[in-house]
Amino acid sequence: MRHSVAVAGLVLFLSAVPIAAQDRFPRPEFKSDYEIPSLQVPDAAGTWFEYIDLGLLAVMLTVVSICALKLRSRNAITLCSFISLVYFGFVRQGCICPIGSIQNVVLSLSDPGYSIPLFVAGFFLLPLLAALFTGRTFCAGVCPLGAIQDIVALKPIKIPRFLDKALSLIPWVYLSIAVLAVVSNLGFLVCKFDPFVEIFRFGSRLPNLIWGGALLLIGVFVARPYCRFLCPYGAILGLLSRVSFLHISIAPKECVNCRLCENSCPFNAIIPATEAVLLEKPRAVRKRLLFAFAILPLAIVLGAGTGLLLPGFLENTGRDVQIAGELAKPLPENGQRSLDAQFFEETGMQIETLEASADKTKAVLAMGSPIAGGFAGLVAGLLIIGLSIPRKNREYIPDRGACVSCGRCIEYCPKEHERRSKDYSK
Amino acid sequence: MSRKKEPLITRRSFLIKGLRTVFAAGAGAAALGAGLHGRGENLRWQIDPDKCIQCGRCQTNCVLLPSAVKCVHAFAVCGYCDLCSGYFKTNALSLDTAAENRLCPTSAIKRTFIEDPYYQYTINKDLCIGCGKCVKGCQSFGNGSLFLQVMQDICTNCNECSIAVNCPSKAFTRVPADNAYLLKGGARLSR
Repeated sequence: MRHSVAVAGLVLFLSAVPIAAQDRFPRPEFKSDYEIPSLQVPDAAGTWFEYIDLGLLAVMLTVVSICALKLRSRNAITLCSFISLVYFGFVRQGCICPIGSIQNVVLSLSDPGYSIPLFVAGFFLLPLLAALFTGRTFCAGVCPLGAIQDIVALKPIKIPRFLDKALSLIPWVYLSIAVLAVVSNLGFLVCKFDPFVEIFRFGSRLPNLIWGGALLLIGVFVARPYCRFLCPYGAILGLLSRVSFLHISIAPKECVNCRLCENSCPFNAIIPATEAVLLEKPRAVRKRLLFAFAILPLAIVLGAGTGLLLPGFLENTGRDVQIAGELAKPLPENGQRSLDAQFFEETGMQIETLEASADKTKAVLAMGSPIAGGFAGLVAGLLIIGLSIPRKNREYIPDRGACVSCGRCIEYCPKEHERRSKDYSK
Repeated sequence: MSRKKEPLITRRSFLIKGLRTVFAAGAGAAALGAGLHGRGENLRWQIDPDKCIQCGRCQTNCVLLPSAVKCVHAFAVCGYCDLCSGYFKTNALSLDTAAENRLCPTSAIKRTFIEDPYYQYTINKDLCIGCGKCVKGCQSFGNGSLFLQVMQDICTNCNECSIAVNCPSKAFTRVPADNAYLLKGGARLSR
């Protein structure tokens, strides 16, 4: 008899229409005056908190911009970056950061089921607008990832220019792969490989800690390795910074070409002054430019071709693809499927839904990979064109794309010291 | 090189100004498009208890230690059993509070006598590590009044929840922040 009740209960359970839950046991009628406690759950931390963060981001962007452009003080910028490291890094635990918010924006545009919180859209937009106005001041003193690297950059070595430029392509490749991963439902790669968030959280995921530690170690000699050679948001900011309305300058007014600042920049972001006239023959320049423009379509095609290799690497990082692939194969000899596959069987979900999801990922990857590769090729081609255009500048100027507005060079400028002593004597 | 000789708009400055406008418009459009597309809701991660299979990954995959996922007890559904399958191991020697008889590895469930034969089971959230062992027990043989939920006061609301990535039953969903708990049967917990 008891057995049949249990079976009936099980049937009820499997019929899967539990209103609150499956009632195998009736709710007791208490004889004493016991009252059933209500279900208590803690409230979410209010959303106002996030808008305060957004406000602080705007304030910090403004303050750092003023420090860099108006006060022209490296110390002030360092102080700002330290505050940002403590607040945006360790207090807020580095999430959500504008770097990762790229993915939220992409996901929001590609997945109708996802809704981007307004403050995340704000986190994405504000530093971009700031970059259009005053250059990469976000990198200088607001980004906690930049700040932690800036602190450890003690013995920066000079990287050869060609290597520097070639490595600066990686962020664009990373960006296109990250966007592709979001669109094809493979997750947020930039967050997954975030090197410093684990440090900010005093976390315990060993691979991330090793990755962050390694970057910090490299960062002692190669200043800001993540910012320069990996950060996809930094790449976008650099692009915007090149056409920014204002930008930090090395000399306060006119540069006297004293060359004192030449070696001050750990990021290779100072363009030295050139001769007044082009030394190259115009014919040679024209030939080189023609060559560079001819390379552009070639680079795009080559990039798209290389992109075709991407699905092979990315596909199997998708869990659905993995599990569907495993379940399609016969049971291995030891009769044991992987834990993921076992769990999937336990969920009782339809294999068709899994396969549909895996197929969608594969289809999007197949279509998006050449586009992502072609985009990376386009960037490479444009870089080559940009490098082949002859430039004429009579002064030492910051390379706006690479300059993070850290203000180190300012301290080396004799004209700046003249300005300060004048201001002081006033 | 006096500045007066330069024309008002050079080719270069035109290009730069044009690009600046284009980039500003582009960035604005991306953010606005994303915002409008997504209705700008504030979202939190939560577990759908109907989908949860208590695999135990909530305990191990959260970026926090201990996990932000904890067990919740819906008293209104509980049968107040003496032999609670969420409290005792299946091979328990006797129905008492001895450690070897209990499922919970951190003794986060408190068993208090109410009246014969009923006992109340209360979760101590400070001790709960979100392993889901009790949930599995309650789900298998009991009323299913125990279930796992993301505690919204602890959760750092990561951009991408690292438990969600590894959840085998895709039980993790984003829910509106002002109503961030999911009850069984798709019901929402008002609060």
